[in-house]
Amino acid sequence: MDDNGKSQRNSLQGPEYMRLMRKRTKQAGVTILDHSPALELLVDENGAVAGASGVRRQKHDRWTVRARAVVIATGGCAFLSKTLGSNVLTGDGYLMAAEAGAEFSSMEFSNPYAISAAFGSVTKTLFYGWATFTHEDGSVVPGAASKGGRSAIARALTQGPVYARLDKADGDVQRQMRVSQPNFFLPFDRTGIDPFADRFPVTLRLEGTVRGTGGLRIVDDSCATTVAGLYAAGDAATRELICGGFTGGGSHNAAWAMSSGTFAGQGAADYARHAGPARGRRLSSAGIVALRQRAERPFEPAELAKAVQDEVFPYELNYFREAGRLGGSLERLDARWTEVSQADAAAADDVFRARESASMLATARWMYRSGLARQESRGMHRRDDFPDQDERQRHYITSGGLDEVWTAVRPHAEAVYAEAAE
Amino acid sequence: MIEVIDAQRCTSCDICVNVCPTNVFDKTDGVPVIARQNDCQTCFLCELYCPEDALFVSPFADIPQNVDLETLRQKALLGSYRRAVGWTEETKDRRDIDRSYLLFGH
Repeated sequence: MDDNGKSQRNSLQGPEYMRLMRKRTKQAGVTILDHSPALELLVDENGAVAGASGVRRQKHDRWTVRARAVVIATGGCAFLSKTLGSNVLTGDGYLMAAEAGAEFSSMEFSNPYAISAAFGSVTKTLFYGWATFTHEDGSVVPGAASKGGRSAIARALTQGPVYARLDKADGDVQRQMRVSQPNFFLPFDRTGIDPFADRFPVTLRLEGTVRGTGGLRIVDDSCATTVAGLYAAGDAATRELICGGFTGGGSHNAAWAMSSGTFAGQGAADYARHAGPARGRRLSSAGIVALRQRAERPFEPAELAKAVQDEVFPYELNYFREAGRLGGSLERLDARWTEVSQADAAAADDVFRARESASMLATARWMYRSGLARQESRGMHRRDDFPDQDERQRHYITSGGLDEVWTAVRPHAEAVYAEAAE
Repeated sequence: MIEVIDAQRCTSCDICVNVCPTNVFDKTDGVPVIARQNDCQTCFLCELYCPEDALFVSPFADIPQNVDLETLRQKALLGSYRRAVGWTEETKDRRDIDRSYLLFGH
């Protein structure tokens, strides 16, 4: 709103947006602990969530907050793929929530890939709508497009390098691109590439559940999860409620972050008001993996993260899914989980990385079990062995579990209403 | 990834240490150090927040590069992103010229 009470609308760049949100949050009286990732939830005698604890990386100590309700807002999981700004999104909140007993939904919708220059991190796929994609020899990649033809790029990348040139943008569009999204041009300006005139190699970086729609299952309008006292907001929560099996960029996800954050905050506050005093309860730590002494083998976070990436990055495993390949991945991932759950607690300096890699591992297992359970192609989930959409599978897939990962089918909301009406 | 902090420009304000989402820098008694370069996600935020244009993030996300500070200074690459986004006094009119919604037909 301007001074005259008239609403003003404009596009807002990411950094502006984050700075504004942080300012508003501080003005609201919130204490922000930077560089202080949560590691685990605290639960009371009844299993209700009653706080969280984590590390302060720059102070080299731990923090603990006792609370009557907790909102998980840790984002999705992009598996340290370096898709722009996403390496802080490793599914940590999923693991914490799962240890407290939370369920997930739509985890099969977890395989969008974004286009970037092969060497770079700036995954701004929309501008590639003005691109022509070519093979090494200069011939056009058939069917390749940013929208509706990204799978053709993925298939071509399994054969060899793919190049792009934004040759469909005229002078006017080029000028608008420059002022609208300056960071898109950083990789080009700093390497002497003219993206409108020169061919440059591109790649596809996995965005996982950051731009997928799977996440913690929400059971009501307050963004409550299936665990008492635990709420979910933003990309940590499933976005199936607003966009099913496919999503776009800032629009849906930013709108959902704002709205679900508001709902979850209100829901958590209402719950807290009725939950009685936070003091006097006997709390225990819900975290298990990398946090408990087991005197077996050491925990090696970097090695584990790489092993998970090897299962979720390849286009032939995750972009194009198929029962045999998903099954093979799951065997390897499950074996890793057995190893990890027997491993010793991670060293103090390593514990945050250990939890991160364990979260990636758990996420991959919910994703692929859900992917196996959805025997059709729908939204971003593609099955080579079930290439068509199947109307009989117009339902949700719930998943959960750590040592034993399970899936179950839930009817779509519309089907529930239809049944109730009969 | 982050390649260099220009010690001539740096005032040891430690803003980069505070804003880096992946905790790449460590404070010292003077100029901060790039302590964990491998953790850099090439998001360019440290450059954006540096009031002295003392930092340079190479666009290569996976492989460290050799950069020459003198060349960066001469080509005015230090601070180029901050100027483009409009986070400098001279370029602040650029902060509200994002017209992506027109470009994308919304």
